[in-house]
Amino acid sequence: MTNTYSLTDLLQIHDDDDLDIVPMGADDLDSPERIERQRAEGVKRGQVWLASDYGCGLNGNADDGDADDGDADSLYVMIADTDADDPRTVRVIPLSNDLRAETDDALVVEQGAPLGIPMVAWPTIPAIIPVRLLYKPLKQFTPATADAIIADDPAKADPSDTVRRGKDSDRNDSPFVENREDTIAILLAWHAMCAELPQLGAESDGDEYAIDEALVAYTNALKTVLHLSPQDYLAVSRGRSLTSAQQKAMAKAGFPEQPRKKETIDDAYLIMAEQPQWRIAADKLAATGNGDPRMALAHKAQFELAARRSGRGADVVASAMRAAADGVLGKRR
Amino acid sequence: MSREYLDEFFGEIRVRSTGEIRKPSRRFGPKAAAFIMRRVAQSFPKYKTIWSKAGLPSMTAEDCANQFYTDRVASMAKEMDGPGMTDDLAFEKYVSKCIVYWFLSRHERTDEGKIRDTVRKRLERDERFVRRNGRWGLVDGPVEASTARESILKAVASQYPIDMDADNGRRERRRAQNYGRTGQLENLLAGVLQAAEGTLELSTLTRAAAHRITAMRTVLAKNETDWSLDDEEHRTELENRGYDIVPMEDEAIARYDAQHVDISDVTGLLAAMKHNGREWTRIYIDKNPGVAQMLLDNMDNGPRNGEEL
Repeated sequence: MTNTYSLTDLLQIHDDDDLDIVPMGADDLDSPERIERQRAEGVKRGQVWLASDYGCGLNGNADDGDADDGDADSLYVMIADTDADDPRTVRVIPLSNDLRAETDDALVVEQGAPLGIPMVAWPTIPAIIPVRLLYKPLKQFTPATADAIIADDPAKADPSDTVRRGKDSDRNDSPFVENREDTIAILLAWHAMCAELPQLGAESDGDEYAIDEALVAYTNALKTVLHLSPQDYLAVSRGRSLTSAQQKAMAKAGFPEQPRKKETIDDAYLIMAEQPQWRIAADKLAATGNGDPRMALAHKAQFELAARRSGRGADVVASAMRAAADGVLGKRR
Repeated sequence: MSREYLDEFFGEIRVRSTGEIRKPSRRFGPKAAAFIMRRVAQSFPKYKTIWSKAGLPSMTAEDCANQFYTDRVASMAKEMDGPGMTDDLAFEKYVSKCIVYWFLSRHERTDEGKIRDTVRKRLERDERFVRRNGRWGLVDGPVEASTARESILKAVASQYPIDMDADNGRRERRRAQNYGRTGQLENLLAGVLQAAEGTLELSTLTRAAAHRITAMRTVLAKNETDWSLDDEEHRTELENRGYDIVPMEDEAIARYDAQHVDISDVTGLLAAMKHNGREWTRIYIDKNPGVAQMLLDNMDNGPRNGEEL
């Protein structure tokens, strides 16, 4: 259990003037700096996270589309395996902080869970879920204990930890306990969300430098017809509108409309945008706008910010994503 | 935007002079406890009858607060780690919601609460019934409020057949409750509304149904063995009368049995879970181990479609 005190006991604590709330250290489980750091480190085997579908932008239950009905679900999970082919999904083993939920197919980590309390783990119900659901990183199990949980074998646990086989009891039938069946139901909805992740592999031919001929002709006309400076025609190609006089001149020259650049988001951005590092920005976007917040971040990074970055490949993606997230969070760089 | 409850929960409380830990980090403290006490005391009078019905007439608001805390501390602690817990206002809103749900859930576990909840769900699901201005009526019936006396409505309810399985109280699942065979309770409700010649409040319909169901239970308690489903003779008799013999340990099990959801249709299954509620979902997953095995299936949206996830 999370607490051995009764509520009446807790009230007694108040009756003492000589008490102090000790400020958190930089490496404490709940220190904001530590959490930010672990989010940025990315997802690794053995880590514990609180996963939550709050504002995640995926429905997981396509019947009525009321994804944001205020009833978000959350679960503690341990990362069992990451997926090198698709880092947008991750294999997790569900955990519970409620010992009343234990069953005979569970393991109970009496000592050794990073939350500092005994936890139930269900190695028999691993699930693949979207990485974007991972919200709060809560450190990790020791490698041996993580292995023991994954292998469903308490004997393999780190000698300094205490792991035992769970047992069934009537208590997990209570409506106040989130039990094994409730956990499976949540995981099923989350697993179904994997099918709603933005489609990868949508680039036309994989050549990121492919040139759209219509766009080139239009840009040339901006130079030859309107005599725009390089700075101005770049601004137009990035979305600045022409004046009505300029529009008329372009129409006369055979360019009534700016050809729409086919804006297909690259896999590198789509994958990067799913990482937990951007969760706070994504949640903020989700609260203010419509659509998929991760897609919005990836789009902003690739089409508005990447061109202003120096360097190549992964560095540009990471730096543009960071700029997109900072923009949403109102951080100056 | 104050964060006093959050700081208290995540922080450690120590005695300044001795360094002794009074409250470890990640535990609720006195501020949260005081709020819960106050909030439970506020709701307590409204739900006072629960405890006398449950045979605990001396239950106080403080007892309730302690019981609430024991029941809900694990889920509240988990919520503290979640994205919704941004400040003290969010904490108070969340805890208030938990307290109201807790009282309602306790109420539903009383006999009256269970019947009321079932009557409401049956009315919602059957197309014969309609809710008008907070009252229930028949779709093709009068819109005005009924003036019929409750004793008449109870007498009408008494005439409707409600066949029960007396054995259910002894079954493995303790969710024991049943309200007759499929359609019987709905027919009773339609009959009562017909006789009412107007719309009725949910509480009136509940009392009429409870009158019938409670009377039935008294009879059953006296003749328990005669009604056991293990009794082959009785089973045959019911089958001869055209009844579908299904052990109905509670409404959720009855609905589980009535609804065949294709396990391979994930979207359909999730919709059924949402529609039928938590009890139904627990039963479905308990009876279909295949659901847990689906959690690793390829969801058909891997990299370059079709690759194994």
